Amino acid sequence: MITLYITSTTPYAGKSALCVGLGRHFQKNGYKLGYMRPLTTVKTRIGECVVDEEANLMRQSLGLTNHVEAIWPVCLDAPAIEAVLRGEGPDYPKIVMDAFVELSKGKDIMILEGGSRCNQGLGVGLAADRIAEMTGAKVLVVAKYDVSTVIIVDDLLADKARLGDRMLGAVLNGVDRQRLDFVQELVVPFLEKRDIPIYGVLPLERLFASVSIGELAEAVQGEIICRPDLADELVENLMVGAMSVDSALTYFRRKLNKAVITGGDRPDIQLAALETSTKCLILTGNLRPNPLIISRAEEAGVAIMMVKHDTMTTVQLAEQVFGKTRFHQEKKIARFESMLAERFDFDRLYRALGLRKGP
Amino acid sequence: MLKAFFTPQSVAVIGAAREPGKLGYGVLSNILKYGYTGQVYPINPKADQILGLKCYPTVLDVPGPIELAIIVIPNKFVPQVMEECGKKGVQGAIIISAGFRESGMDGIKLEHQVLDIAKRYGIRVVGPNCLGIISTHTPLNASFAAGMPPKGSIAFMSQSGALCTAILDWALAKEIGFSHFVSLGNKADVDEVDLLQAWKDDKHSRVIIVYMEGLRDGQKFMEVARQVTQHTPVIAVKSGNTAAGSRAVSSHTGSLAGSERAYQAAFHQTGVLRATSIEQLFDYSLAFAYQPELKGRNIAIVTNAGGPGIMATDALESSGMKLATLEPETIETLRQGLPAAANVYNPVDVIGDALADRYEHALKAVLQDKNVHGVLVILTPQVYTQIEETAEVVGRLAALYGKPVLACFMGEEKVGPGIKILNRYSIPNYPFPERAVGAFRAMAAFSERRQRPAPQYERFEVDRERVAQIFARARSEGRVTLGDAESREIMEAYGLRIPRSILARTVEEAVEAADSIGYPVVMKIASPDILHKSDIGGVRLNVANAEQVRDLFDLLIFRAQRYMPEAQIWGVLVQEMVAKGKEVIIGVNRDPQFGPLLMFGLGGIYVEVLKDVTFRIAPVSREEAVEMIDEIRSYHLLRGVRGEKPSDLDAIVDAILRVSQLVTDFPEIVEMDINPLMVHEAGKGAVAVDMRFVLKEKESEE
Repeated sequence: MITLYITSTTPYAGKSALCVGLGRHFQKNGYKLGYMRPLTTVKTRIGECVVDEEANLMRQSLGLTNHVEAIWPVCLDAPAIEAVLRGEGPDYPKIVMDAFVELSKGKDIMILEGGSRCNQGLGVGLAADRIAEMTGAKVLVVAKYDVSTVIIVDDLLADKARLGDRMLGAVLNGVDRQRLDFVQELVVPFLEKRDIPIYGVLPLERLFASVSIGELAEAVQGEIICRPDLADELVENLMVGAMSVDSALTYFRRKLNKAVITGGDRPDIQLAALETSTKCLILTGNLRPNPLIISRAEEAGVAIMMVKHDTMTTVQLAEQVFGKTRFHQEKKIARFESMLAERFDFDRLYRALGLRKGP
Repeated sequence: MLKAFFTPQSVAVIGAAREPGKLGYGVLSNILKYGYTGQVYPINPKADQILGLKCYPTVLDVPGPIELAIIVIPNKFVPQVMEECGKKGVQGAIIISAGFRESGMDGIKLEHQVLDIAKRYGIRVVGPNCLGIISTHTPLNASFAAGMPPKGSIAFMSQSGALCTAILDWALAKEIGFSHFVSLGNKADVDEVDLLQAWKDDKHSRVIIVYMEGLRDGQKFMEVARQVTQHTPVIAVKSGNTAAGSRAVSSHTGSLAGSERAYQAAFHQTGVLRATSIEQLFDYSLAFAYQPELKGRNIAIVTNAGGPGIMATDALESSGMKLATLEPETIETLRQGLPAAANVYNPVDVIGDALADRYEHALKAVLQDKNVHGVLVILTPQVYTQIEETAEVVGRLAALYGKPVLACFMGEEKVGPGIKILNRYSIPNYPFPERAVGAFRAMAAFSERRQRPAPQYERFEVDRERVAQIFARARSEGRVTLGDAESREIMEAYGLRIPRSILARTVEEAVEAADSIGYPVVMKIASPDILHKSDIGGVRLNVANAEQVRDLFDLLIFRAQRYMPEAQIWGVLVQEMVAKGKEVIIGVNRDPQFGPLLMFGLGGIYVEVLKDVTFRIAPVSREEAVEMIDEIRSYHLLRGVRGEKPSDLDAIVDAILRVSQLVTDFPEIVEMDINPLMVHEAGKGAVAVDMRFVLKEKESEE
């Protein structure tokens, strides 16, 4: 059995995405896949049960049948941390190992989703190197390219020093398109020379930071009055319409796949938004729009939601959901998979893991 | 075309009613009362006879053919009736019923449904939610209007039904004749463009007038209007030309009104005369309807009062018309027939005590003068003034010389009978001289427009493929804006001059680049991460020699690293230093109705304040490009003031035409501008210094 441990240099680097993308690739090639997240710090309450939403979504995305609790054996919530500090905590490595043994039964490949940094879990004996040693895993590090090259390079070199041969290599994620050539031509060879294979350089895409119309509606307490069937459509940008109609067009043309927040009594702005790349109109002040506009939106495939708040409040509420996005949406997963197909060196990964491609 | 609406052989009134006061009764009774001579079939399943005519339950029960159906029934029954009309082979339907698009979601759906049926059977539809149609020469009054205008030569269409009723009432009082009178209602099918086309060759219509709030297809309108205005004047009132007005249009019609500038440009380019009010609409249309063509700008004024004569003269001058210079013989004739105190030069003042004979003498003289293209007769009601007699004289003489004569009998009570006589002779009367002059001006604009050849669109040799590739790449990367290098490449592909520019990665490369470009040069830090290069001191103009290039190269790199340590730095861009010239702007903004709206104007730092710009819809012809340059107030600056050499106007025209071709070739360009285009002395060309592009997002895949 092969075990792959995926960690990152910073939070929100794209670990989950890579777990799903690689996991599905393995599955398509006929491998039986297991998944586990050895250590977490958050739990969410869904109804009566305290479960981890992410773990749940991961189960769905990878089509796994295990219990959430099993996939996610250790949760360092506040009481657990207190116990550890008092020296009263359980034997975490053992818990993780037991779970691992259980989950990996009958599997060809285990993917372990690690902490957002290599050293996360060090205090309870669950840092990346320790887990890799226990489980015999190879470690793949995701680095999000939203900081300077120096920091990226230093972080990856530090991980390499810590993990040594356990480190399989790295993936550079979220690279600005204008920087792709630079990264490809200079950064990649530099890292490769220092024994850090780069399996992929993935460009930044707004889609991954997008929010679904449904999520937005929830955030602004909006009622979707037109095309509720589009609730899963993704919104990439947020714009506010409070100008003259001539400047509105110019303004709206600059952002794609956006939600436009404007008053329900501004038909001109609403029409200008419909004229450009818009996924959703968020109409404030609890004012129902003109039926002619609803019918235009219906035809154009644009959702409309009505909100009781004023524009200011609505903007604040909507902005809060941007950035805190979830990856587990079929559209995003599909796009990420196609991006991997284009820019991730699967052959090299399979070779490095000693796997054959194809069932 | 649309014959079924204007000269049908047979009509059915679906929803004809027995009770006076119901619309279905009003329509039927209007058809009968105003002399329609074809077959009329009332349709009403609950009646045997209405107004003496046999009634049928449905159109399918009518024995003979039906060309036109007028539908006056509750909205929800309209689809079924349309089906029946389709089966019957009806060609046109006027849907007077309301409760469609204007009334909400259900209405919108109903309208779509009705339109689908109409399309399936090939029935053309006027309305729904309209007043109906009146064609006075047929005669057919297929409307519920209160009354029937006299026969005339004004064809009128209106998006507002209510306005129709008001104008009709006013026209009845003023005895103004119409050829056609159409209320377009919701414009589900037949719209302004269809009617323009239909009336283009209508022998009864000398002028077409339009009240519109918006157009469905601006480009198509332009195409058709351009043809029509070659022989028939078209006058339009377009409402919603302010921000608040346009918002009102949006909520009234559910469509994004095109920008005011686009309408202005489109009207201008197609020769459609714009009236700013309903008053002006009729001021102009009466002149066109009643009088022969004005073949020049020279106007003679005959007046019995000095003040109004001077006001008319001012109005002529300030509106670009001319006060005709009379021939010596004319002056001599005038001198002989008029008292010594009279003014025998234009404006001809027959003075206050003039009777009709003096007007006759003067009017005859000026009408015979070959320098005079049109005459304005002003009359103020003074003690001895023979109002009615003078009106008779004006009416008789005006018909003899083939030149337009407009009257300005000022006042109301006393001059009233005179105006009635003028009207009988088809002499339009205006209460004030300025309004009469406005009408003359419209007439002059129309005939000048007719004399212009149709626009020719030149095409330059360009590298279209290269631009297509740049756009494809940007769009594949999900971008709608372009980088500097890409913009420059597009300019090059379309033959627009840009400053020479070389990227230098080392000091040696920079010196080499500067040597090959020639001093002085501009140096700019080249980094995709630094957007506002001049803010961090990353731009230096006027670099004079190799030594300076060396020093600056290091300085620019140092500054960039210092201010933005994480920025990726490509090197330094060494650029040709564009010599100082006149800065102008060429811009494009795609209008939702009309397409690429091309702007030209003076550039530089005061551009925001002066707003000295002019607009056209692309493509533009060479003549139109020249006209754009002529139109801006700063034109004289470009021509050179106080001994300055004139700027290279040909190079500006060339640039405008190339941009026009670019945005016509690539509809995906929604915005672009060249700011500034640096224009040098005549013969030395123009250089596009900075440019910017915004593309339309990819068409959605759904």
